[in-house]
Amino acid sequence: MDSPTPRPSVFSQFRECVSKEILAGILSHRYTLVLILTVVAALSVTVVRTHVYRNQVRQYHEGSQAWRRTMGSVSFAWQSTGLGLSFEKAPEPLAIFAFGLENELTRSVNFCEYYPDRAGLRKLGATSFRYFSQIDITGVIFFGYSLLALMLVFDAVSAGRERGTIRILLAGPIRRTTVILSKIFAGLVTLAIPLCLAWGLSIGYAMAVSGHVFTGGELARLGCMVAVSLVYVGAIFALGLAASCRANSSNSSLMLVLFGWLLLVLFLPAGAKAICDIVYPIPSFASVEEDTQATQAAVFDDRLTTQIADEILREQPDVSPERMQELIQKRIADRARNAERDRENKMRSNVALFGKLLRVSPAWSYLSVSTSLAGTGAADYLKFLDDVRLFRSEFEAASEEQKRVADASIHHPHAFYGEGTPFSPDRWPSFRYARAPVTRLVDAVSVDCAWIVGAMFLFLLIAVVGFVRAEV
Amino acid sequence: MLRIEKVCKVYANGVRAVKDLDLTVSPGEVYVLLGANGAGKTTTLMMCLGFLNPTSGRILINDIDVRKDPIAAKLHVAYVSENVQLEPNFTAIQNLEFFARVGGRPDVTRKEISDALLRVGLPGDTHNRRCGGFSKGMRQRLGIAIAVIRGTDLVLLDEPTSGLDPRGGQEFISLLKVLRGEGKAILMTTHDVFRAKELADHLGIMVSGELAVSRTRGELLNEDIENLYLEHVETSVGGKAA
Amino acid sequence: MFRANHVISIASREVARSVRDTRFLGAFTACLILGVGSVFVNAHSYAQKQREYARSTSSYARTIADKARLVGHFHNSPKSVARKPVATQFIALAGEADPDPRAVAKVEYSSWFHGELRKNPLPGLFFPVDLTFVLGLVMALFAFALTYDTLSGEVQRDVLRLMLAGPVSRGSILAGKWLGAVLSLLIPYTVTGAATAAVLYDYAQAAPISTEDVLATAAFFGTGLLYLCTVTSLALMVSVLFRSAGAAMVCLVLVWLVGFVALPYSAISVAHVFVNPPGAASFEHRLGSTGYTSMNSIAEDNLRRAEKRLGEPIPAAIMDLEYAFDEDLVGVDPKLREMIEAIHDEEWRTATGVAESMRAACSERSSQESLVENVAAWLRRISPYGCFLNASVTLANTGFDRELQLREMTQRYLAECVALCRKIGGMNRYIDSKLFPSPALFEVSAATRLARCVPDITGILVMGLLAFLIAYRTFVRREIM
Repeated sequence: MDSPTPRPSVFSQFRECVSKEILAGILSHRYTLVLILTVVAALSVTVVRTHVYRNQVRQYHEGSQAWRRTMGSVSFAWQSTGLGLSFEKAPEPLAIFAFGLENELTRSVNFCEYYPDRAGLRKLGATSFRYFSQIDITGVIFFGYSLLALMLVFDAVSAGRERGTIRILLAGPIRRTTVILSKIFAGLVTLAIPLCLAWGLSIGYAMAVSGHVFTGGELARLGCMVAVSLVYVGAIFALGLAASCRANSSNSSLMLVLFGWLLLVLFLPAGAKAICDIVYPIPSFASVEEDTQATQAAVFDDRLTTQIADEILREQPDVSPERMQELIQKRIADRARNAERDRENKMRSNVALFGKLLRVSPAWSYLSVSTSLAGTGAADYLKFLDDVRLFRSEFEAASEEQKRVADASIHHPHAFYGEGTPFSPDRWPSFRYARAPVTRLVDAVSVDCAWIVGAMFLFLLIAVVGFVRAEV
Repeated sequence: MLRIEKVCKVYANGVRAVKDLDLTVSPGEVYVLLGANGAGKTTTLMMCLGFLNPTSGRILINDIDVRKDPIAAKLHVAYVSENVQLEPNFTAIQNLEFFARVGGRPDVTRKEISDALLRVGLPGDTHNRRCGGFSKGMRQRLGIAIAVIRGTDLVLLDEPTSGLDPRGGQEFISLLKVLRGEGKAILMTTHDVFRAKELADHLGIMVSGELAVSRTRGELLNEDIENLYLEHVETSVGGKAA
Repeated sequence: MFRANHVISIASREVARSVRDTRFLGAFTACLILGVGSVFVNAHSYAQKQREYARSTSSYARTIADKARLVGHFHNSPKSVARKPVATQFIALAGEADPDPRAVAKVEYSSWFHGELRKNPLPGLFFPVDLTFVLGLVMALFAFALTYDTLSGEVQRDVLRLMLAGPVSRGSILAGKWLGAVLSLLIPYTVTGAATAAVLYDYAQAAPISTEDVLATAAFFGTGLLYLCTVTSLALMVSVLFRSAGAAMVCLVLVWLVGFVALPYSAISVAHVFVNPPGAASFEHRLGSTGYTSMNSIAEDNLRRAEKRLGEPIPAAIMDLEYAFDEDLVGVDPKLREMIEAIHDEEWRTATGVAESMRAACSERSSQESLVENVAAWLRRISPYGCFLNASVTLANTGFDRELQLREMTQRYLAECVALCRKIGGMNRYIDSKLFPSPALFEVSAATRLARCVPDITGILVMGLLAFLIAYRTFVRREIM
């Protein structure tokens, strides 16, 4: 017999298999189609988003200028609330890449009675077209690329098995683990290429055309968004590979993959919403309104007024009668808002639970991470509402102060209309809103990221075990 | 050299695919395994390649137990399946290069690959053509070329001539004779009784998982293989007794 | 070209084959669960909205009765136009996705702050799950998954060669395969339809459905059937065009992603870019300042105008009387009374003017938004799902145009209220709530809805026929190797 042939090095076999897989993957027609489509979709969507961003910036400037002009002629703070207050929150440039809830965040929030409810005017109706008219590159990756990637991967192993190619390979002195690991590595690399291209072109376009100079922090966030999208695609790839390894045929693999995708991307949010509505049912607007009005009507109820008056006297025994009247009114108004506040708290719990339930799907975790990084996520929205509330109370306090000052100098209440102390803009409180700082962001985002990575490893484990144990 | 020692294979559902199989293939020898569909020929091959584990018994390739050290054992084995399907978007050379490299020849050169392809009868103009467009005959030759380029001692073939035209089949058999001449041990399963007669140094007929008949070339000279085959196959299928 | 008995036998074979496939089971389960689930959830939500609607209209009537001194505090009291919830929202949620069952123009003193968390914004990030979504998108995807290898792929091509070896024409084979695929898909479709009917019947007490709505639902299912046929033709066409089954499936997924999801849902965005209506923010400010500047001028200018009308000066102290709580003017000096009424008259004139100009501004904006929606609707017609979406939203009567009409109607209602108050005269009279105009809430007959769907249904038909034609020509001319 000849001298024993040296065993082939595992690393060189791995390297060979990886380069073969990558080459075979790239040479297929499917891949070319997916590459072109992804890049075109991502770029065109970014073009649209950049254009929309520029429009929003223009409108924002127009709007705030118009507001300042009109506010210049306001004689009293409380009259200004008749007009509507605009906030100083400019459109978010990172929303070009992950639009999220930006619609809810950018627009001015108005304290106004004189024009129709914002619900109809703000967006193009409360129609079902709202989100998908706001598609961005995150949406393309989350929805489109994930499905396309699955179409590339679903028969990675099953096709080879059906055709007998795998048998020929495994007949040689190569371990199964080497084969499957090389497939994993090659698959991840192959899928990363269109993604990186798409991101590169999109970021380049946005930087060139949006008219916004991206700061270091924003670029870092963008980098993280790219990284997370790579991990997400990795998880999707792992799902496809697992299906391919476990299924008996390419057809069943396809069904598994479609089911999995539909479940993770489409079905889960519907289920999550139903669960949230059961756990935290939201009182309806009608019931809130009824309660509010009932409380307000209690103004005419002497018993209630006396009760409140007693309370106030106990707290401030030396209060003046005019001040007492004021305080009574205030407290009643406050109570009237209880129903609203209660509803809002329930709504917040509902939103929080909903966000947590959605995490079950790595797809939605990805969306959540992306939007959080862009500053347009659910947490940012809730924070925004908190800041608006704070601003409102500050504004009301300042205008109360103004009224008091004005009152002191006026004998006749209706002289308000004619003359009065102007509530000059430099006395208005400013709206303070900033994106969550990176440290807090990391906390918020790490759980979601961990879940996506976890999902990826879980599916990869299923794939590897399935492949190694199968009888070819 | 291949030694199959008292190998049995019983599947999980209780079906006995192979019963007490004893078989040896020496270097420079062609062992042809005949048998009806479902007789256990392919199962035997799969066990030799380590795809299935024998329920009892052992298989030794160059004295290496396939079960204990599959990688070392498979260094010495090349396999040609019934329908060779390689990467369709790669050329013949690229495909061969890959299988050679992972099969224990990381230092193979393009010239060696071309030579191997020529040896198996694939002309020069096909070497850089994508395998997706190859005919069945060309693909089978490609399968054998893998065995040639890897230079293994043992070659296992699973019905390699099925679907080949008479000329293609004949050329394939000539190729195997050349390999035999180089000292390789060859185990081939087939239905093709005529080719078997021409090629076999050793002939076995498997019936319901057992080796019903075993003859050497010398013994075969005086026997009619066709009748032998039909006799045993018919018995097993429950037809007329011999 | 087609022989009926061949077509039927091939079709029945296809059905038998499909039903035994694991893919069929998957498709069936998914569509049934999701379809029935969505109907159930939407019916439940409709029942809730219906309760809220009844409650809010009665509470509104009560409020009006209470605050009958409406006129004096007109701008402070609630003016609600209760939006009657739509029974057929389980077909297409569209405009009904907003959980507030009441209307667009609701102006309240008590809730100035419109920026609170009125609804969970996150569900806006994904598709609302209604029947259109299930039958239009999910079922289409499964239909593709079931039929992509009808005429491509190794196994089917072998079978095809066998069939073509016999006295069967290619047209019959194609027609048979098409019919078989449609019939297979009809099974989950019909079962989902029956389950839907069962759920709705169950909810009929709490969530009443009129005859018109039932007819509209039937029309929806009919359109869905047509859509299913078109989807099958499309799948067949792709299957014919591709030799390898894998490539066919990838192509179909691309078609689904681009043609069925991306195009219809981005139509509104594209339309917006084309039509480019002026921004909402500046419009809102304009509207607000109209209201504000007008109201701001009330005191001064009204006083001046009243003086001019009367021909004599009015002391500013008069204003006190107007806002005193107990305002029964009987017994007040007639001269004083005349002055007060003159001021009131001017105030009402201004209020009417304000209501009118706001209505005009809203109307103008609505017409722009309406244009955007029209353009979007036409853009959607490029895709079969877009046509189906248009049709189902029209049949469900939950479309965006309804929203616009509602806004228009609300503004008109405001103006009518103002006019009524003025007619009744004086800010300090009590107004019987029955005198208030009730907003005409639109009911659209099923026939009208169907008529409006004609372009979309035609679109679906045309695309289906086109796809089948392409498949036929390719198949007949192809050399099967």
